[in-house]
Amino acid sequence: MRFRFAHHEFTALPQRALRWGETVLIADPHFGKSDVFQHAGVPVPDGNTAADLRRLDDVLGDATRLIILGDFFHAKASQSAAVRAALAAWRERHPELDVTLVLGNHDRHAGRPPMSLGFEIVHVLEEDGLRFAHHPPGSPDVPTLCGHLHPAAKLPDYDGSRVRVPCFCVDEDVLVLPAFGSFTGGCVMPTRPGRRLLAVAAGRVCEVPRPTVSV
Amino acid sequence: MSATAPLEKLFAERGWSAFPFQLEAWRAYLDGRSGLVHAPTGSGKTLSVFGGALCERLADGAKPPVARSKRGEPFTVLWVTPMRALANDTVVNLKRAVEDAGLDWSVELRTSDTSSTVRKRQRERLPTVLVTTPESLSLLLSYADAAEKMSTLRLAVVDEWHELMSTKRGTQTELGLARLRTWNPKLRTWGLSATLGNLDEAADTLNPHGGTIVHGDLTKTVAVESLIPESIEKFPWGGHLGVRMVEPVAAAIDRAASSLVFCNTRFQAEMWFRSLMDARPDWIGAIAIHHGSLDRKIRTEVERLVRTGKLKAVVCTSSLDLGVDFPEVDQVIQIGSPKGVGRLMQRAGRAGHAPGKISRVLCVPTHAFELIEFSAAREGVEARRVEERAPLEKPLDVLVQHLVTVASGGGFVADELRGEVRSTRAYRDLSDDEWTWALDFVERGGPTLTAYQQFQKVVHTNGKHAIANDRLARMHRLGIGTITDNGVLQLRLRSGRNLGTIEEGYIGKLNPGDTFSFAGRPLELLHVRNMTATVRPSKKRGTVTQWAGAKFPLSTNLAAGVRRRMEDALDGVFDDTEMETVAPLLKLQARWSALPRVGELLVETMKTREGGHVFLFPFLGRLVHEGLGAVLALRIGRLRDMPMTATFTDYGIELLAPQRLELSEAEWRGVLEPAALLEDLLECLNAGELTKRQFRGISRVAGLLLPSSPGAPKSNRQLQASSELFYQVFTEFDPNNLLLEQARREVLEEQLEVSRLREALETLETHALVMTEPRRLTPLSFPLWASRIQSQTLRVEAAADRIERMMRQLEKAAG
Repeated sequence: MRFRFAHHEFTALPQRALRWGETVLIADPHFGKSDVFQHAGVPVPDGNTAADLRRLDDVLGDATRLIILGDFFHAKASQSAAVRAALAAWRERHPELDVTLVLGNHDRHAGRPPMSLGFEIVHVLEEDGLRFAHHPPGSPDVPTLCGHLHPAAKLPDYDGSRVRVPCFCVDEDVLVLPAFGSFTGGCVMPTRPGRRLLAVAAGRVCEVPRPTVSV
Repeated sequence: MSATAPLEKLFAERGWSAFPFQLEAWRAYLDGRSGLVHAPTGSGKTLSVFGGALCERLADGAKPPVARSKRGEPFTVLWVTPMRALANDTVVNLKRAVEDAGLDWSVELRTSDTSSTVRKRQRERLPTVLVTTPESLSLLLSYADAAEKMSTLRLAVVDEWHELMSTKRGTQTELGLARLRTWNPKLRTWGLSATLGNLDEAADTLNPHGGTIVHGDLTKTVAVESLIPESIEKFPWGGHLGVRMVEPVAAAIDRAASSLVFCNTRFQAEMWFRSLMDARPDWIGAIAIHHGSLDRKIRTEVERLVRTGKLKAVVCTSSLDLGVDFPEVDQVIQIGSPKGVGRLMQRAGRAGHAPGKISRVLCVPTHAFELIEFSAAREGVEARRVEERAPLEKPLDVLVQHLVTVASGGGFVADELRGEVRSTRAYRDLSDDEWTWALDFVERGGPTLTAYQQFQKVVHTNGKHAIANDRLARMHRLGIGTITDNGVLQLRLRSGRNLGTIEEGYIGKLNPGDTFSFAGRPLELLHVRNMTATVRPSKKRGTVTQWAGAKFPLSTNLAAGVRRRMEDALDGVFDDTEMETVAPLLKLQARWSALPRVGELLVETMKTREGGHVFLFPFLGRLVHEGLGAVLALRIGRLRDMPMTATFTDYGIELLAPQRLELSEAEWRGVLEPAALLEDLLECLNAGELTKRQFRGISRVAGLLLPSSPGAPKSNRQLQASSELFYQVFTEFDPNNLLLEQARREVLEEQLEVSRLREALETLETHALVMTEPRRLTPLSFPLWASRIQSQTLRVEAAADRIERMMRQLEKAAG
């Protein structure tokens, strides 16, 4: 789904990624999250990291550049041999891809991605009048794309019940991406005037209708 | 001299005499037998089991009865009680008995509330008598020196077994007792139980190797009375009629010295407490509120005040259901449906809490149909038609937790432990495959083929399974207590003062700045951080927002009673005040739609702005309706290719579709077919919603959800995930995981119980269909409709406005 943000055109992809010209953006992949649980004695099956990387393959297509808006690994124990091998194999499939990681809060403790992946690592990135960060800004002076919140929206059903799904949260100056990682929770974004919520579910992106004022 | 003589002599010195059932229990104990004492609360059942141990010690002539050695007497009696509130009381009672017997026994408490100093001392050395909860028993078993520390144990008692038995904590207790029996084959285990429909099964579950049943004096009678409203509403819905009953309830409280006012939910308790305060502002300090979400300190204080007769009334929930002794209470009031004959008898037993006295319970309807329930409950009480409670069948989550507990408590040899686990009733049919799976799950995270690479918890070395490291053992202990905890947050004032706990799901519906009522006071939510919700007292009145809490379904037993009373009404028999009062409403139902007879199934169809509604009234209780609703939604959805929402109450089912729902009689017969029931149920399960909900509890017990209390280590924050996420990950990457299978099984056995549903459908097959198309909601369908509206809206006020508007329209139309 195409939309405009800060005079730029973006496409929200159903794989929980954003396309911006030749560039693909994702936020909060939290790779190796199940490894962290397993390490702590919580039995969670493997598989998320591999599946998420395949989804990333789908999104990349002909893109030349990938920007990751923070929280690459979930925690230190995420950097297991299996996860590192899966990442190396993924990198081999995209040798030319230009990858920038904007550091997030998890990256501080989890450790940076291995050098061999050849990522450019920054704290914040500014380009074409846009800022790329992990945390949403307190008071944005520059239009900012970020992650961290794992935004979700509630979709109304005919019987009045609601279903929670991940979403892009588009304000005038802030665009929050959904968490890319599939083993992640979400935080319901309150609706407010001027805010658009683009829900991502069932292979589609749909704008959540704004609540109508009932009389 | 008989072995019970010393204690009988002590009794005689005080001018008492032991009841025959107490003597019977003492003798059985002294003969080395285990058993179950079946007696109502307040009849001296505590002493009936404890007395045996006292006799044994008194008869033990070798040692002087008052031996004062520095180390005290060894650990002898373990007393397991389901509720902490009960534990305090039990300690007092047992101490008194020990004192009367002139023994130098130490009696101590160990629950999750026990201070760390006391706990540390108990880790060094156990008292002679230890009063504890099932969770704390598991904790004791999780220390490496547990076997040695508990080797001198002679008697293990499980109090309120009728309440505990049919829960996972009951299964946890079964496993714990099996462990104790292995260490100590001569151990005697005794249970205390109120009347149950399946007392023999209860006895077998507690003592699978055989035990005796001792019956106490059961002549204690219960009188059920109703508070009759002056004018009956034409459209009853939960809560509405209740508020009008505040004045007569206040008057009833005035007439008695001290009353317990039982409500079915915490929400209802909060609402009634506030309404009573509004009605009698001078009662400030004289009435109090008590429910499971309140901080322990507040609860303990309230319990102390009731016990000493300092309170005029306490508005409470099932938190005061069990046998806490309140000699000063002379009136029990039940607000709303009694839900079951057994429960009503138990609550009634809180008043006149002394052998031989009559217990009276005053029932207050919150909607008119509850009057029929009161009438049916009275009939049930008189006929002693008490409900059964089924013990659980091999819950694997509890087994998995137990395996880690035992691995922490010194480790185990797999084959030996398998035999021990199978010695319990719950796991008597545990298959080799299931056992192997559970063992693999704690050792490798899954069966060999799907082993999780990074996983470690229990390691297998030299033929013995043991916990991988101390850190994991500590984390496991933190998790043991969470067997019943829902996702709860601490509720705190800004000053840091604890008010209690509150469900995550409830707080999640509020925004900072919203006000709500808790512990009878209006509070404003400031923020939610680190599993703590910070609030401040609010000047605004605040809405009493609904939150979940425990909800009991109407027992099938009582639901059948309601049907019989309605049948009587159709035959013109209105033989008590309850039925006379409700008569006009039943007549209106008959006029607008129909009042079903025992052999009839009423189906009301109508269309509103919301869509097409069908209301069915099988009167089989909420548990059956939930399953029926799911199957009907699936089958009708298939027939009409429409989404369908099912809502259920104790009386019936509402099906809602976006368009008008019209089914011919033949089509109704088709969707009510008992054939292919299992297949359809499985399809309902595959749709996931039901299983997903059940999985929440399972993931907590099985140790997937780590404790996130403020006391838990910070590092755990990396390990937080919702059960929904786990469910998603398991279904995608390990679909054969037996925990998923257990969730499906629990839904099938506990919610959509196939045999019960098949029976229901077979019964309905013989029923005549009474199909009506009322122009508006009827007295029967209105509460059903309102229950959906209430459960889906965020604030009761909004729903209340809407319902009130509807009420006005409908009443106008009814003339």
